Amino acid sequence: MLKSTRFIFLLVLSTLFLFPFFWMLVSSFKPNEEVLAIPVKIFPKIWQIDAYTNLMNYSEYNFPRYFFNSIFVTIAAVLLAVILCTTAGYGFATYNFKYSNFFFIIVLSTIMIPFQAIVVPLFILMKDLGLNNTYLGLIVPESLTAFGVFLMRQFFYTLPKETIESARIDGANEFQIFLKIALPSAKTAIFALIIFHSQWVWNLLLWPLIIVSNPEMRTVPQAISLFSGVYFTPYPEQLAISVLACLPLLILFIFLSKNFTRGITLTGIK
Amino acid sequence: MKNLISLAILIAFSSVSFAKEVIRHIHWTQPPYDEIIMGTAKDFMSENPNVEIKIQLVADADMPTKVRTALTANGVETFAMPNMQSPWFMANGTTAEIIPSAFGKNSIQEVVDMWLPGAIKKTGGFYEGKYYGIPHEMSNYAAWINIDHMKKAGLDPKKDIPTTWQEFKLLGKILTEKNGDQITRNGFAINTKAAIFPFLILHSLMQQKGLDWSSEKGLYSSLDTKEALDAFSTFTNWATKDGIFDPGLFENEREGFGNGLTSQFLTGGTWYWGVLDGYSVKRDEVMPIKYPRFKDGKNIGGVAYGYCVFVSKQAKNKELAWKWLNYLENRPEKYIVHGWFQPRKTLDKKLAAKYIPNYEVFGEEFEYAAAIIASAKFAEIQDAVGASVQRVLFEDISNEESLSMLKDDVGSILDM
Amino acid sequence: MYNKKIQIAGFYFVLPTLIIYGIFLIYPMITAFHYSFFKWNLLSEKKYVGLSNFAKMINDKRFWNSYITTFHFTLISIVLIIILSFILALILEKSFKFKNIFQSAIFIPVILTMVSIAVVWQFMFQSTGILSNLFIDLFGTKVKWLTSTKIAPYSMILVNVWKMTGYYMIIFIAGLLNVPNTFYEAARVDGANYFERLIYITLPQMKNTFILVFVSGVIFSFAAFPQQYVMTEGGPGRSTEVLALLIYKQAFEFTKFGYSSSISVAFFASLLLFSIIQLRLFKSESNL
Repeated sequence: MLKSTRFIFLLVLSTLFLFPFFWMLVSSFKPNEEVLAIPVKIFPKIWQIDAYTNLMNYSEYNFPRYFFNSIFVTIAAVLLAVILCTTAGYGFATYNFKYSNFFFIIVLSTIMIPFQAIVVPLFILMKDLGLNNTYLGLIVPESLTAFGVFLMRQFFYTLPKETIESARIDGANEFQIFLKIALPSAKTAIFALIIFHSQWVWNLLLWPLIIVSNPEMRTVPQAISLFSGVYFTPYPEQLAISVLACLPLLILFIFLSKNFTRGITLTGIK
Repeated sequence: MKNLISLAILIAFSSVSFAKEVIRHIHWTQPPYDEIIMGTAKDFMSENPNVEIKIQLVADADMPTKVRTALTANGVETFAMPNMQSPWFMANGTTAEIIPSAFGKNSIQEVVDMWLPGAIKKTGGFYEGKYYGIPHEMSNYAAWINIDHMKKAGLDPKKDIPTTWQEFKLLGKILTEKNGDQITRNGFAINTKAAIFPFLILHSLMQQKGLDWSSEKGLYSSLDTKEALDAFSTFTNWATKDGIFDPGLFENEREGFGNGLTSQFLTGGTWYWGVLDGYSVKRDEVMPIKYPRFKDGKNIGGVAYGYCVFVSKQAKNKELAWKWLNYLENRPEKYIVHGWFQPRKTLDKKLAAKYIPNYEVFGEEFEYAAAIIASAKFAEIQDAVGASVQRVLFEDISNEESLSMLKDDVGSILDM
Repeated sequence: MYNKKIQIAGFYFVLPTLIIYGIFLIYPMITAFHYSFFKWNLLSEKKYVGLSNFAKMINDKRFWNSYITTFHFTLISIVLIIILSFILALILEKSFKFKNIFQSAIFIPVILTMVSIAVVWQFMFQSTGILSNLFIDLFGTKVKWLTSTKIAPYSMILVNVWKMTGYYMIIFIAGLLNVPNTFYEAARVDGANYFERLIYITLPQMKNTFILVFVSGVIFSFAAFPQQYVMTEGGPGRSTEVLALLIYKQAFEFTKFGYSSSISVAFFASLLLFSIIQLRLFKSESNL
């Protein structure tokens, strides 16, 4: 009895949560008239992939290149984010050095300002450093996430102090302890960080617009907003590019999800 | 080894960056035209091998932000800007005046005369007595009607074309389709999300009522007149009282019209022919017409709009930059085949008539087109006007009240 | 236990972050705050105006409308997200058939691209869209999802809850699994039922997780931007013009970088105040 209620509850909820993506997917295979037809039909009469093949006909848009850019920038920014967040999170959680609380609060305070408020000073700084129009200029600011530091610190608190202490007694140095004990135990939290931060980086619109001038360096969301900002973009095409834009992160999630769910069952984030 | 590599890099860099004069040009993207611009740049470079043109295409809406940040980074020599945004750049001293010698002329007037009379002013290249830009595109907003819908409603697309706003509204009522009390096809539609569209329509209506919206002062002092209230409520009534427009039916009126979900709209220029081809409605099912007028009002049409190209003040070789822009804007016949009108005198009028169906709507009407306000605070004014319309449409605020709020808003924007 | 030499190692772990965050976040942040005392349009000379930007802000109805809109959006979002994601976590904590599929389904909105989300929701919300039609078929009334100033703010909340729930569900599940089993066994021996165990063991043990979810949820919702930027541009009326959007508009559309910065300062101060209050309320050994 309880089991079937639970099952139905979850089934309904999952359907609702999945529906927008599902709707985007099926609608992208409909012809334009059918997309807008009333009454609404769920599935297309004839499945057609015209919207996807049409995307290749816009000669001014090098979509494969934009995907490469976005993927490259996201990987680099997330990698850097993981390095910084794990080291800092570990440092803040396990040690009690001078001013550590003060430093932590300073880092954390950056979470409380919206990114678009600092875009201009950041741009001027990047320009002075000669980093505008470079991948580095895109990547470095996008790798910063005070929430990530916070998340990792919360996690490393749960690491038993005795484990660290006994490793010390065994003669391991501090960095070895971090690398061999702390990091492996933090797998789940790192996965959470990767997924959460990669979607943030993947979605950024304003920063790429401002920092990059070379059309060859456009990112996917930029290309989409450019694409749909142009006067004629029929719905199926808009939906098709939207589906494609979601794919890389979906694939990442599928790759990580096994580890992710198992990781959660093994440890957990506190 | 390391030294060798860095030496190689150094040489590679120096050969690129020191040998050529670089002109970085920012333009907005619009597919069939992008290729023409790229091609023109290529030709210019092969004729001037010591120059490298770097074109950067951005979305229309992002243009002002992109150009502003590029200017702070010293990263742009030439750029395009619409007549609504360009006053800001001219007022803030970021653009350089026209240099006649770059055009092979002796005076600025001679350069101005290379384009149709008044073209530079109406496309936003003129500010407080000086010429800063040359036209890239010029048109005026027209009303578009789906004549197929008219025929199906038993009307004659020749005789029953609306010439007054009263007729426009009545036609809208006839063509609106409903399912119960839900509108399934609009008689008229406008994009309410972006403030620019209500602004453009109101601009014309106000000018037709004899009010001056082409200057900041004129706009501000017009807002508490009876005529302004007339013009304003004519517009808002379409949505609130006349029941010919449901703002929720679709987001974008160009798309709605292209898909046959609205029978009329008021914010399409010559370029709309090309846009229409992307949708299900066919070219012979629609027709652009002149903006209707008020029975007792002035003979003024839709707003004139356009883009000019500019040389930034920070450009090192301004003469060369103007040469490039003159070259860029010297191919009107390439653009016209896509329905894109450039007012350069060298353009064969027959070509224009051939490639822009109903050219008379745009051509003739252009003389009567309302010149848009030349204000460095355009963005804010437009936002306030858009909000005044939204208040009536979505918040049940009366026309009178909304207009008086608008007067306060505009007053504080202009510090009056 | 306490060894000064070892503790210093902590500083080295933190150092790279301090340097990079200092240069690329904290310095720009201070610069941004500095702008709030100036009148500046990015290309003009900066003109010092003292506190007049702040004086203007206090009297600006648009600012207060934005503030209330943001507060409303944040409050309702966070309540719904916490309830929904915690219930889901309680159910999905146990393992059963298809559990992973359900869990993934609910998580998927988290990783969908924002621009894509805006396109599809817009598409479902418009009068011809499936949501509007579904409501007409089911209840006979038409819901003006994005064209009513009363409903549009809730449409934004709906999208936010849909997008964020999966993420917090995962954090809650992880927190639940961290509660030592021995506590439950002891309670079971004492004859406590499910709800008693939930109230007396689970909730107190989950305190830190709740704080994490609450704090980060509030901060993220308060900074909501892309959704409103792409879907409504703040409309209809100004019913969905959240603070981050207003900051953006004042700076990038109206080129009032000074005034925009003073709103950023107010934004920052609000979240700082919130953090201090929550710190006082939930003082705990491991938080903040």
